[in-house]
Amino acid sequence: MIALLIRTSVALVLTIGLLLLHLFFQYTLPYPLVTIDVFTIAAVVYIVSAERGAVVWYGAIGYFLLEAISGGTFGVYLLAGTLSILLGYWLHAYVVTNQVWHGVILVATVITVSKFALLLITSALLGEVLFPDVSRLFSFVGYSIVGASGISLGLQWLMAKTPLYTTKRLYSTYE
Amino acid sequence: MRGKPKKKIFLSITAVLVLVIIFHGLGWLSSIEQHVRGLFIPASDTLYSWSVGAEDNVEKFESVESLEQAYADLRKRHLALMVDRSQLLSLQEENRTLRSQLKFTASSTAVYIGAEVVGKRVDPLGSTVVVNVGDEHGVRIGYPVISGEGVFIGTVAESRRGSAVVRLLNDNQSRIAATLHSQDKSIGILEGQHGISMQMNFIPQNERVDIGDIMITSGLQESIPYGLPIGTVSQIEREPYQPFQVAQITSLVNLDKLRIVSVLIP
Repeated sequence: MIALLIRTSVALVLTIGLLLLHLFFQYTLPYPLVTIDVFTIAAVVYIVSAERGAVVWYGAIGYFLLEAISGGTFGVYLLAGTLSILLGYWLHAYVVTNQVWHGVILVATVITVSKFALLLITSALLGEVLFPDVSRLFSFVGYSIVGASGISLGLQWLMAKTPLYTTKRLYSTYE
Repeated sequence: MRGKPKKKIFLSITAVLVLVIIFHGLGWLSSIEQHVRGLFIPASDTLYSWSVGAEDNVEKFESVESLEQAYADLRKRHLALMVDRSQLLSLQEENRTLRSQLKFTASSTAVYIGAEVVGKRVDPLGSTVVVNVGDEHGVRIGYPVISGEGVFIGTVAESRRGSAVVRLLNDNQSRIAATLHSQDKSIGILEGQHGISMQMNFIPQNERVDIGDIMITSGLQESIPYGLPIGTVSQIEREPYQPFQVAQITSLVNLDKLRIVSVLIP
């Protein structure tokens, strides 16, 4: 119980830190670096390393905080972001099932593509009909995938080099 | 999570998220959201002001020739503006004289609420900014927002306690009744284009529109007064076989570098 509380508190603090980092990237980086989604990268790294379904709820909290402070119809990013993380988790749990580099790229791609697809769908469901510039949307999504995959791979590689990570694996719920 | 059917998990997560959205709509989460905003908006404000201040006076050119061309265009525009200004001053004087002769009283009672931009939305699906004034200052949905220089930049899309969301004119969902200071005073709807630009559609082919014509608000929309400057015509798309022409409009201010704005309370 105490361990669960500590783990949840640490996750909440990290989520808040990730939100601040996300805002920093969104406001200061030029295009195409602004397409980097910190939540997607964090979700991919957590899914591949910790392999726990709690990532979906942490993502939901992160997107709820983002919705509270940003503009746009409430619920669009919450639904799209959370469900895309769920899809990424299922992909890793039932298809990839391993910490391979192409698995990281696949999970990052699925989370990014499904997030944007769900954004368009949830926007329409919540009454905000959007007709985005398709070519700009495709290039935005493309850069997001490249950014998320590349940074996730880099972070996974760094984590694999640290002694703490290799000697004490974060527990898995897959076995 | 293993062992539970995926469909059940998906439905339960979706149900929780939908409940959160419903609770938000009912206002039951407003106190939590208020605390979250109170916690994050100062940080967002700091980060946003860094980003605006980082490249304040930098404009990039692809080549020396484009820089020279931009300089030549600027000189030409400056000269034209000086001429317009002198005509404007004489017209102002004439207007003052005529008004006093007609004993015309000022009917405008608009109040300007100053605000700072504390955040913005960065994705290809919308173009909005967050300002640090809200419900308690009298800000309501649909009120016009102008930049520090007095240029119309958007309308309030959402107002809550402590902050408001402003939909910029280049947002895909932005529709503003506007008119051109052209020979024929073309009236139309200014539409945002994917967060990048703006255009006025359905200008009849027989109406004359020139590059450089100034666009202002037409006053035909509730809460938005007549005469707020918007931008200038930068490009005209005119096909002989089409009944209408399209004018691309460039805002008079950089909508990515907004810092101080004012909300007009009618």
